[in-house]
Amino acid sequence: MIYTIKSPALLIIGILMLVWGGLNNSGSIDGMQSYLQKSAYGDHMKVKEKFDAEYRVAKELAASEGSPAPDMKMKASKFDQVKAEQAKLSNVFGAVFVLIGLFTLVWKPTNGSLDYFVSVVPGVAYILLIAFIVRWGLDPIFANWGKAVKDAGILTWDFAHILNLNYVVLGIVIGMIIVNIFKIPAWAANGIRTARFFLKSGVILLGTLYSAAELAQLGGLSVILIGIFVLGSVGIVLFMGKRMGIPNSMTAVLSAGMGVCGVSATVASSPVVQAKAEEIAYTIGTILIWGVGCMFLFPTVGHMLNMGPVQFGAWAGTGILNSAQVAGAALAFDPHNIETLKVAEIFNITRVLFLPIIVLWLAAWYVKHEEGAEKVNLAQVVIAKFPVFVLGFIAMFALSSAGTFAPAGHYQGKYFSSSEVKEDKLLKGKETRVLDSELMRLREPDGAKALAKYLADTHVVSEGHNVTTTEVYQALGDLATNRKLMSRQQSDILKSVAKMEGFDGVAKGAIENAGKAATHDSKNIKEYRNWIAWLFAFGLIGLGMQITGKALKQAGGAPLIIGGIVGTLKAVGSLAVVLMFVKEFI
Amino acid sequence: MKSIKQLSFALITLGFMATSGASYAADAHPETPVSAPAGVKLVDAKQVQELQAKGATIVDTRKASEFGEGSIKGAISVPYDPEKSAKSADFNAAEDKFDTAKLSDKNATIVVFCNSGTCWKSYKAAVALSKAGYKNVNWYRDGVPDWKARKLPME
Repeated sequence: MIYTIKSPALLIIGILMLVWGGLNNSGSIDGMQSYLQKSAYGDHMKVKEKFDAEYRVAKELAASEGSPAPDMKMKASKFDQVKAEQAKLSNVFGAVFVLIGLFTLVWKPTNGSLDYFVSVVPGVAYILLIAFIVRWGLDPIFANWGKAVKDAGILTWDFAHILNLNYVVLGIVIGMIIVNIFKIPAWAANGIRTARFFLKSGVILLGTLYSAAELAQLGGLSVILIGIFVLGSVGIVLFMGKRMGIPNSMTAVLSAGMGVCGVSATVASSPVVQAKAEEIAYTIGTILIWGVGCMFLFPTVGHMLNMGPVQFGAWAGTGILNSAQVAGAALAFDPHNIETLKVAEIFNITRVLFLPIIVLWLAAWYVKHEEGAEKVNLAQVVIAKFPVFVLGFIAMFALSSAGTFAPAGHYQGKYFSSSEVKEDKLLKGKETRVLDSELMRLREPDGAKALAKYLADTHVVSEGHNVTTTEVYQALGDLATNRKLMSRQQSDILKSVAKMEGFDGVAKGAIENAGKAATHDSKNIKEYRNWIAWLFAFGLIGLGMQITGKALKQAGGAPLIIGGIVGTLKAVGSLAVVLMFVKEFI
Repeated sequence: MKSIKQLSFALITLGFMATSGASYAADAHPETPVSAPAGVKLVDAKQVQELQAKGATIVDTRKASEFGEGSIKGAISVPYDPEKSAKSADFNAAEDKFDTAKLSDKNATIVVFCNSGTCWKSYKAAVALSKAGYKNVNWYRDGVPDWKARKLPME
């Protein structure tokens, strides 16, 4: 059988990509890109203003000396780098697709693997084109809108952020729109089947983002509490799914989504249990609807029960499913202090770090249940059928925990390091003088009283105890002496203290600068994050293209019911536990 | 049925493009006017030095953290922060925060600056000061990048 279908589509997609690459290189779409790549453009304006000023001064100088105008070149900004990357990707893939497209048109296919590989290319190109549109167009547009609507005061929350309208959800939605309105063109069908392969590659790389060493830095109670609730909800979903006769793959994906951390856990576990595309969509839909409901309900309940910041943070971090909504609820509960948000984040991170365990569990569970009731040797079956790429994920997680890609204590590539603060990022003399005088002020009787009152009122905690004024003095003094932050704890303490009424603005700015200087983002992991985003966008667009209206109807409402029951159990259960055991400290 | 679906999709796409286009147009990066607002004098680096020698107050309107990283030597930090109003000459100062407690003397000579061109903080601060009755407000539009390029004293 011949797979290759003769169609000019591949050639056209290749040309479109080359056009985009060319437009980026020529700078003729800079206006539009400055809107889409907002933060990179901010950097561009800074670099440009510096260059313009230097050039103007150099020209004035040259004119006064009667020499010709100097020849100067502007340094590449982040904006230039972003455009260059888009141009490079578009040009490389565009050129390849044009060549293969031309080849297909003149070639007489014969049976064999060449025919099969060529037949896959148009579909891959089709998804990649959509992935470009999603990641470079829709994702930033929605992010801009979310901010604009919030800034305009129409909503008090960023809808794009809270509803996860990033490339993950947008990719699935776009795929669904295309399949339900236009049908998949015949020339693309073969390529679209490769989506799962890319998704699996993405999951393997996902292992690099997490590190077991981070878990060790988190509080003991958060690990125990989260462990019980994560594993408990996964267990309950698996049990209920079996009882209600829902397909194993659906049950398993839903359990990961309800148990761990919403969208990314769902995506990561979907290939483990060979979940169908519509099952993934259902799970994500259930999680998001449930999460948004929680985001509004939790703060109200928290205030009604008069919960403290640590209690509420622990509850939100345990009970709410998706990271963005956890942060949303914590901020809604307490917009002025970072304490609640910090605690919620600790619980949230703990939950995410359970992902490797869940993936292993689900892989074993799925293999066992798919093999049917016949009593075969479980160990043998698991070894024979265990998805190999899960081992890749676990291996990456292990390497990441060992510090192969970034210092072992990192979380998604970000880590604190005092020794790596660059020379030019050390605090300036002016800043240390202001810090010194703040230290003096806070040591005087009036200042000391105000500080002690502030520490007590806002429950500033560190490593399981209330922060004392002595610790604040120590941290401020250390910062002024070393011109950099020496530890994460001191960084957290000073960030809280800087929010105090009457704290000097420049000293607060110095603490911010020192915090930025000591927080590093691993280059390797940044690169992996970018790759993961591409692989997931690609995989999810392809999966979205398999979700028809009919398939959604067949999957039915059962996941919504289970999701609702388990979600409620988790919310109420964690509330009870938090109220009983969590006092003020983690 | 099929054609209705496709038609509605086309309409939604058009609507999407129109809104994103509109929000793009509303979001250019405008530069400040090249002439000073009413009641304010536009000055260049040389004039700033002369005014400073005569005892003028040099005011950095950027964020306090930027001031800490390096500013015109002898300047004080009075941040126009947070700046939420529109970047245009008819901005609404009520949306922003600018605490002038450090500038008590309304007859003193004051020079405000931030970064050049697209930075509106010093422009808005100058307008706010002039409206509040400060008599000798000067606006150094070229700001820090210009000062740095001229290798004038920073701290």
